Amino acid sequence: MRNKNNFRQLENLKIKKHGEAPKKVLDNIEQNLVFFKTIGQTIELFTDKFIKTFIKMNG
Amino acid sequence: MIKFFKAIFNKISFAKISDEELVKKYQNSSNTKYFDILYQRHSSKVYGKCLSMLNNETMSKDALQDIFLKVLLNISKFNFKSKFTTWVYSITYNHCIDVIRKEGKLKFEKEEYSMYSEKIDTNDAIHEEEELLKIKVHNLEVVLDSIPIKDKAVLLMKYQGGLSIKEMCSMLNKSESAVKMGIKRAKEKCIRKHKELFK
Repeated sequence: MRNKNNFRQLENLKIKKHGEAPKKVLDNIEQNLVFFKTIGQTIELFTDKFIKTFIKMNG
Repeated sequence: MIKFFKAIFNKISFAKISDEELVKKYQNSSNTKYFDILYQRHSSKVYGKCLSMLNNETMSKDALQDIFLKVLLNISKFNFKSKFTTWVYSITYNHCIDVIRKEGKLKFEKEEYSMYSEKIDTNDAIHEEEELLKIKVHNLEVVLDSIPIKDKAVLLMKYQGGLSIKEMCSMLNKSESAVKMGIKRAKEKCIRKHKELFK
């Protein structure tokens, strides 16, 4: 395959026309990750507490 | 401002480190600075691919965000069997196909290319490829928008994303002969449309 084929030129043309990838996206992704981590930790904590309570109640 | 200098500093200090090494560093440390560099390196290409597939700026920005979030959430599963870019481009095309499918523009009917016993002539394939790659960029944009989206998708995967037949097989969940036939048909449609519109 050619290095600079017309398909890749088309891709570059689109980027030129619409601008570079927005940098804000990265911040959003990282915020999302923090959100997922928090949710994950909450679930983990809840599961842990639930299991402990369950064991306590059932001997 | 600090973020800007941080980005420049990262760009210089990690310039010689390969994508795969950065992935390894991220897998070992979970330090987002490695992911930031991967994003800086590849976000524009991914964005360009989204624009080519979706033809819509807002949808492409949303897709870009979703794709890199998928990359981040699945990076621990990256197994170094392919190049990092190939892996990211696979996610990109898959995601764009999903978006188009959800929009109702794409119906991947149960049309199985493998059903056809037609054989691909290598000489014809080379000739068609030459013809396809000779199409002027602006004409190519028009032609790609006037062929079915699934044909556009396979051509972009092969000629823009540089995915191999094997990678396309696993992505599309189709056999090698089915993928080859899909590419052949897409090329034929593209060339035919080009002749109709510009000759």
